[in-house]
Amino acid sequence: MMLSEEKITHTSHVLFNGLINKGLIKLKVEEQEVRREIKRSFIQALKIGEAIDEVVRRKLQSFSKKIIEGSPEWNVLYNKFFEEEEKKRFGK
Amino acid sequence: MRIPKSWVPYIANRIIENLLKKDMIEMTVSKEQLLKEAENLILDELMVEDRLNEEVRELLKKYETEIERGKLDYRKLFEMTKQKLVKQRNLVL
Repeated sequence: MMLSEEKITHTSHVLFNGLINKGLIKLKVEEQEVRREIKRSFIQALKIGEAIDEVVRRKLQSFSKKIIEGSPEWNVLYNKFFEEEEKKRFGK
Repeated sequence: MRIPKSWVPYIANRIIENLLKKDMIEMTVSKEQLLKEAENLILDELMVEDRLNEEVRELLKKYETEIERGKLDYRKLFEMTKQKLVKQRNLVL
Protein backbone atom coordinates (compact mmCIF):
# COMPACT_ATOMS: atom_id res chain seq x y z
CA MET A 1 0.00 0.00 0.00
CA MET A 2 1.34 3.40 -0.95
CA LEU A 3 0.02 5.02 2.23
CA SER A 4 0.71 3.78 5.75
CA GLU A 5 -2.10 2.30 7.81
CA GLU A 6 -1.71 5.26 10.17
CA LYS A 7 -2.10 7.77 7.33
CA ILE A 8 -5.19 5.97 5.98
CA THR A 9 -6.78 5.93 9.42
CA HIS A 10 -5.93 9.58 10.00
CA THR A 11 -7.19 10.74 6.59
CA SER A 12 -10.42 8.77 7.08
CA HIS A 13 -10.82 10.49 10.42
CA VAL A 14 -10.20 13.94 8.88
CA LEU A 15 -12.74 13.19 6.13
CA PHE A 16 -15.42 12.02 8.56
CA ASN A 17 -14.96 15.04 10.83
CA GLY A 18 -14.91 17.41 7.87
CA LEU A 19 -18.14 16.05 6.40
CA ILE A 20 -19.89 16.23 9.77
CA ASN A 21 -18.54 19.62 10.85
CA LYS A 22 -19.44 21.20 7.53
CA GLY A 23 -22.94 19.76 7.86
CA LEU A 24 -22.70 17.93 4.53
CA ILE A 25 -24.07 14.61 5.78
CA LYS A 26 -26.34 13.21 8.47
CA LEU A 27 -25.68 9.79 9.92
CA LYS A 28 -28.28 7.05 9.62
CA VAL A 29 -26.27 4.49 11.56
CA GLU A 30 -23.76 4.52 14.43
CA GLU A 31 -20.77 6.83 13.97
CA GLN A 32 -18.36 3.94 14.40
CA GLU A 33 -19.93 2.06 11.49
CA VAL A 34 -19.52 5.05 9.18
CA ARG A 35 -15.92 5.55 10.24
CA ARG A 36 -15.17 1.89 9.55
CA GLU A 37 -16.85 2.04 6.13
CA ILE A 38 -14.87 5.15 5.14
CA LYS A 39 -11.59 3.42 5.97
CA ARG A 40 -12.62 0.20 4.23
CA SER A 41 -13.65 2.08 1.05
CA PHE A 42 -10.46 4.11 1.16
CA ILE A 43 -8.32 0.97 1.22
CA GLN A 44 -10.42 -0.56 -1.57
CA ALA A 45 -9.92 2.55 -3.75
CA LEU A 46 -6.18 2.57 -3.11
CA LYS A 47 -5.95 -1.05 -4.20
CA ILE A 48 -7.73 -0.20 -7.46
CA GLY A 49 -5.32 2.67 -8.02
CA GLU A 50 -2.40 0.38 -7.43
CA ALA A 51 -3.78 -2.24 -9.79
CA ILE A 52 -4.12 0.40 -12.53
CA ASP A 53 -0.63 1.67 -11.80
CA GLU A 54 0.74 -1.85 -12.23
CA VAL A 55 -1.00 -2.32 -15.60
CA VAL A 56 0.26 1.04 -16.84
CA ARG A 57 3.85 0.36 -15.75
CA ARG A 58 3.81 -3.06 -17.44
CA LYS A 59 2.57 -1.40 -20.62
CA LEU A 60 5.36 1.19 -20.51
CA GLN A 61 7.98 -1.48 -19.85
CA SER A 62 6.81 -3.50 -22.84
CA PHE A 63 7.88 -0.75 -25.28
CA SER A 64 10.87 -1.68 -27.41
CA LYS A 65 12.22 1.85 -26.86
CA LYS A 66 13.10 2.22 -23.19
CA ILE A 67 11.59 5.29 -21.60
CA ILE A 68 13.16 6.63 -18.43
CA GLU A 69 10.75 6.79 -15.52
CA GLY A 70 10.05 10.37 -14.49
CA SER A 71 11.09 11.83 -17.85
CA PRO A 72 8.55 14.17 -19.50
CA GLU A 73 7.77 11.48 -22.09
CA TRP A 74 7.24 8.88 -19.38
CA ASN A 75 4.94 11.22 -17.43
CA VAL A 76 2.82 12.03 -20.49
CA LEU A 77 2.43 8.37 -21.42
CA TYR A 78 1.84 7.29 -17.82
CA ASN A 79 -1.01 9.80 -17.41
CA LYS A 80 -2.47 8.90 -20.80
CA PHE A 81 -2.50 5.15 -20.13
CA PHE A 82 -3.70 5.69 -16.56
CA GLU A 83 -6.71 7.63 -17.83
CA GLU A 84 -7.41 4.98 -20.47
CA GLU A 85 -7.33 2.23 -17.87
CA GLU A 86 -9.55 4.27 -15.53
CA LYS A 87 -12.07 4.72 -18.33
CA LYS A 88 -12.02 1.00 -19.05
CA ARG A 89 -12.74 0.17 -15.42
CA PHE A 90 -15.09 2.96 -14.49
CA GLY A 91 -16.51 3.93 -17.84
CA LYS A 92 -15.70 7.59 -17.13
CA MET B 1 2.06 13.32 -2.15
CA ARG B 2 2.58 9.58 -2.00
CA ILE B 3 -0.20 8.74 -4.41
CA PRO B 4 -1.03 10.44 -7.72
CA LYS B 5 -3.47 13.33 -7.39
CA SER B 6 -5.61 11.77 -10.09
CA TRP B 7 -6.58 8.98 -7.67
CA VAL B 8 -8.27 11.35 -5.23
CA PRO B 9 -11.58 11.78 -7.12
CA TYR B 10 -11.92 7.97 -7.25
CA ILE B 11 -11.19 7.60 -3.59
CA ALA B 12 -13.77 10.27 -2.71
CA ASN B 13 -16.30 8.81 -5.12
CA ARG B 14 -15.87 5.28 -3.85
CA ILE B 15 -16.21 6.28 -0.21
CA ILE B 16 -19.35 8.38 -0.74
CA GLU B 17 -20.97 5.85 -3.10
CA ASN B 18 -20.40 3.03 -0.61
CA LEU B 19 -21.83 5.05 2.27
CA LEU B 20 -24.92 5.90 0.22
CA LYS B 21 -25.35 2.39 -1.16
CA LYS B 22 -25.24 0.96 2.36
CA ASP B 23 -27.72 3.61 3.51
CA MET B 24 -25.36 4.86 6.22
CA ILE B 25 -25.64 8.58 5.49
CA GLU B 26 -28.06 11.17 4.21
CA MET B 27 -26.80 14.04 2.05
CA THR B 28 -27.72 17.57 3.07
CA VAL B 29 -26.19 19.07 -0.08
CA SER B 30 -26.11 17.95 -3.72
CA LYS B 31 -24.11 14.86 -4.54
CA GLU B 32 -21.81 16.92 -6.72
CA GLN B 33 -21.02 19.28 -3.88
CA LEU B 34 -20.56 16.45 -1.42
CA LEU B 35 -18.10 14.70 -3.73
CA LYS B 36 -16.17 17.91 -4.32
CA GLU B 37 -15.93 18.63 -0.59
CA ALA B 38 -14.86 15.05 0.16
CA GLU B 39 -12.23 15.32 -2.56
CA ASN B 40 -10.89 18.57 -1.10
CA LEU B 41 -10.73 17.18 2.43
CA ILE B 42 -8.79 14.10 1.28
CA LEU B 43 -6.48 16.07 -0.99
CA ASP B 44 -5.71 18.62 1.69
CA GLU B 45 -4.73 15.90 4.17
CA LEU B 46 -2.65 13.97 1.64
CA MET B 47 -0.73 17.15 0.82
CA VAL B 48 0.37 17.79 4.41
CA GLU B 49 3.81 16.34 3.68
CA ASP B 50 4.26 18.37 0.48
CA ARG B 51 3.49 21.58 2.33
CA LEU B 52 5.82 20.62 5.16
CA ASN B 53 8.67 19.83 2.72
CA GLU B 54 8.19 23.23 1.14
CA GLU B 55 8.25 24.92 4.53
CA VAL B 56 11.47 23.10 5.50
CA ARG B 57 13.09 24.08 2.19
CA GLU B 58 12.20 27.70 2.93
CA LEU B 59 13.51 27.48 6.50
CA LEU B 60 16.83 26.03 5.34
CA LYS B 61 17.46 28.86 2.90
CA LYS B 62 19.11 30.84 5.69
CA TYR B 63 21.80 28.15 5.98
CA GLU B 64 22.56 28.23 2.25
CA THR B 65 26.08 29.58 2.68
CA GLU B 66 27.10 27.00 5.27
CA ILE B 67 25.59 24.23 3.16
CA GLU B 68 27.43 25.41 0.05
CA ARG B 69 30.71 25.56 2.00
CA GLY B 70 30.14 21.98 3.04
CA LYS B 71 29.84 22.87 6.72
CA LEU B 72 26.32 21.44 6.92
CA ASP B 73 24.79 18.37 5.31
CA TYR B 74 21.57 19.51 3.58
CA ARG B 75 19.86 16.09 3.58
CA LYS B 76 20.55 15.51 7.27
CA LEU B 77 19.48 19.01 8.21
CA PHE B 78 16.32 18.67 6.12
CA GLU B 79 15.30 15.41 7.80
CA MET B 80 16.06 16.72 11.30
CA THR B 81 14.07 19.90 10.77
CA LYS B 82 11.20 17.99 9.20
CA GLN B 83 11.02 15.46 12.04
CA LYS B 84 11.10 18.27 14.60
CA LEU B 85 8.10 19.95 12.99
CA VAL B 86 6.22 16.63 12.63
CA LYS B 87 6.65 16.03 16.36
CA GLN B 88 5.78 19.60 17.38
CA ARG B 89 2.60 19.64 15.30
CA ASN B 90 1.57 16.00 15.82
CA LEU B 91 1.38 15.46 12.08
CA VAL B 92 0.74 12.08 10.49
CA LEU B 93 2.67 11.68 7.24
